[in-house]
Amino acid sequence: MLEAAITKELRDFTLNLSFTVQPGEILILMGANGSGKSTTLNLIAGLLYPDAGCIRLNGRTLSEPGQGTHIPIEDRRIGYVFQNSAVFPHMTVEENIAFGLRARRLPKAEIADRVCQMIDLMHLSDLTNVCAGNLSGGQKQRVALGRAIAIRPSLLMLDEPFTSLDAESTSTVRNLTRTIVRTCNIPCILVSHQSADSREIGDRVLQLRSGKAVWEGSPQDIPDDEAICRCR
Amino acid sequence: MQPKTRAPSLILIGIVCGLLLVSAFFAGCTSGTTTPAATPPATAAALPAPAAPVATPAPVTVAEPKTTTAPATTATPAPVYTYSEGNVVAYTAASLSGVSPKLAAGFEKMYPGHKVTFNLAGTQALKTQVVNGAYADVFISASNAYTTELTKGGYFETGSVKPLTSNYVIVILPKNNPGTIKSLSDLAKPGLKIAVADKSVPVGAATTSVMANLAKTATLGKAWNTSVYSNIVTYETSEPAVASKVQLGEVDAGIVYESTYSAGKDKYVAIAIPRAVNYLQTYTIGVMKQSTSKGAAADFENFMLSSAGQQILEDYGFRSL
Amino acid sequence: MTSAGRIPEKYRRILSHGAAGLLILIVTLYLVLPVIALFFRTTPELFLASLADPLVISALWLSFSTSTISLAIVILVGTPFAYVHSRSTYPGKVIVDTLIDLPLVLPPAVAGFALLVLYGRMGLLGQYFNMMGISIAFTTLAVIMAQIFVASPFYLRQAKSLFEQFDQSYEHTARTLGASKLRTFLTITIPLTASGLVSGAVMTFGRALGEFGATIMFAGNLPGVTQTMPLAVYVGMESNFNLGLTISILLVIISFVIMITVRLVTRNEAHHA
Repeated sequence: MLEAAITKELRDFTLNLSFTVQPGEILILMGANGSGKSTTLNLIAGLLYPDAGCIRLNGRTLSEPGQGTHIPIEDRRIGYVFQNSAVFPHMTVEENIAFGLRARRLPKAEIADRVCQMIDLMHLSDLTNVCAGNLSGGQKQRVALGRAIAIRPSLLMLDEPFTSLDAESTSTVRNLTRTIVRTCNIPCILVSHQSADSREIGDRVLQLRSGKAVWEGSPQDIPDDEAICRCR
Repeated sequence: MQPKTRAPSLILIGIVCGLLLVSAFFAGCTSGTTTPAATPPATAAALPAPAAPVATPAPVTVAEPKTTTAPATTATPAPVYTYSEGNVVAYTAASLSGVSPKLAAGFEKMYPGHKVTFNLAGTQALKTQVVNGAYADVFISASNAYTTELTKGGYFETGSVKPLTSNYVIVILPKNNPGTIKSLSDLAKPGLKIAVADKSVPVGAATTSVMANLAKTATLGKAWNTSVYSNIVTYETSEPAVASKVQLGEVDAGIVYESTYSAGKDKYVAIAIPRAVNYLQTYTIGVMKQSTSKGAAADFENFMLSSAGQQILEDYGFRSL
Repeated sequence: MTSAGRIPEKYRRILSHGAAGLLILIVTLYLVLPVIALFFRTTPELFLASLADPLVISALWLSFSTSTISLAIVILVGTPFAYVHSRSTYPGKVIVDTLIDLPLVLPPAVAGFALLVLYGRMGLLGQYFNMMGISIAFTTLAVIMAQIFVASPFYLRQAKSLFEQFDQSYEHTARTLGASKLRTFLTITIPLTASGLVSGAVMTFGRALGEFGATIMFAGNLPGVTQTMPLAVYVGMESNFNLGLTISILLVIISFVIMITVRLVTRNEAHHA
């Protein structure tokens, strides 16, 4: 379970949020550009430092400025999929997925095992030794997802993962995401401004405006989301 | 990305460049004789050419008889040029750097309305420039070997090459004498740092000569010679460069011309080298055949050889001939 | 606009292609002809005979060993420096940024003089080294120091700009996957900036190899110790023309070979990526 209470002074406004995400639950973070969605993810991941508040994952404090606690990024066990997938273009699909496992110095046999699992799960079997730089957008996102899950994270975060994908790839990756989250029973935060994402796989929606939560509820009840998304 | 178009074009570039290089080499094969008199044929054997000149003035054209004691108020020859040709470009040995401003002033005083511009560098560098087409009206050389070379190459106006002045070689030390050198034999002390000029520079060739002479004396000898050579840390490319390393205190001793010491007594301490083993460097001056201001050039040569010019040189420590 | 008053399409294309071709030819010839002229001045026999000369061999060896060491130091120290500099903001960063470029605008002789006045035995710092018995001026170390001083900006500017423009999401991803800062730097950042870094390194090596003014001022000219190839060329030009010519040609050939090799190698890497 993720418990996040974050305060951070940003250039245009102060980010002030408090929410929880249950295991197996997908929280959709919505809001206009610049409302603080990506910043929230970065704060949870440890790429940014909050000014105040407390972030706890499965009871373990990741970040608490008041107490001077800040667990380094690499020790947080969070899977993070970026908008542009950020697959390492100089490595093959296999090497990408194995990256986090090798970083943790897991035994070779186990690495091979998990990588195989991921490749099957993400339907990447015929691309195993292809250079990741040569893949299509949808294939890259599947690699990014497989790579993030391979490390058995306690939390999965995705930042606008479907923006540059076509409808078919979007559907595939969406379904994979939901399957993984439910099966591994981990909390998941998905940043998006497409209402289809909320409807298809969201369990709960949180709307942000200028760093504050302005609405929280279930996907069916999203109030006039188009108007809110268009405003700046 | 587009691997297909890269490899063939790269190979093409490589082939073209390779062909260029190969053809240039073969061209060199066949055109080996087309180089002008510039390349000294004597050194074609590709060995480092020791320039060690003989310790006597080379046989140049007879100097005008002049009296060095006569006052400088004798009538000067009338200028033989038109006003517009009053600028002289003088390629001058670097050891005259210090005295050149005075020479320029003296020339302008004697021939009002003219200017001289000095191009100061090691005589070897100046010779290379001239031989490769640089323009000069007058050439002042610190080495008979280079003067002979240029004369043979037909660069001088016939009959214009005259001995100008001379200079002995001396050892200078920084003012505070960090190496505590008191005599020539001290130069062999282990751990000393000595600066000399490269043998291609006239004073460098003179140094080689002097060292050879000193090695033959009873007091110093071959072992001394070897030790001194192992103390040399740099072969500079001009005489003033040697002096400046000494002045900075970065070396314990340097071998330069006496004129440099005379002009800078406040900067250095000196150890004289006995005349018997010393090397008298003779400077020559000549008007260039290519000069377009021959009149002004001749006037400059007159000035330099006149008692006024010679006095200025003497005041700076050069020895009149 | 009617087509009557304009040059027909066919001829315009020929004209523009011709102009472009002429431009390329002019630039290429300007760069290549002086080099070719060197080859025309000697014969292969003379060239090969000169190669055996001990002066040539010692200058060759000295130049290559010092330039390689200088390059190694610049890369080992400069890469982390450029990375840290590009990723952090600290007071005075602008000044440091400008100082990196300083050796580029300083005449080499001035650089050499400055090094001498600092590290020479009478120098600001050099005097203390001298008291401890360490001489710097007139040694091979001085050659390396002079080379590093004048050539490092080429690498530092390139590395700095590469790291600044590098997409940090790669690094962030690697960190979240569990890689430490060092591991991320070595396995992600460096491989993806490698070809740019290599081209910076090639320029640095070339500059170090060709360094003359600072070397002769600070290190002096002593065969086997400080007489690098450019110094040997300069001195050789006056006393032994063929020697000078031989060394010049050697420099050209070797530099060309290095550059082509590096281009080919990095092109293959770019394919792989």
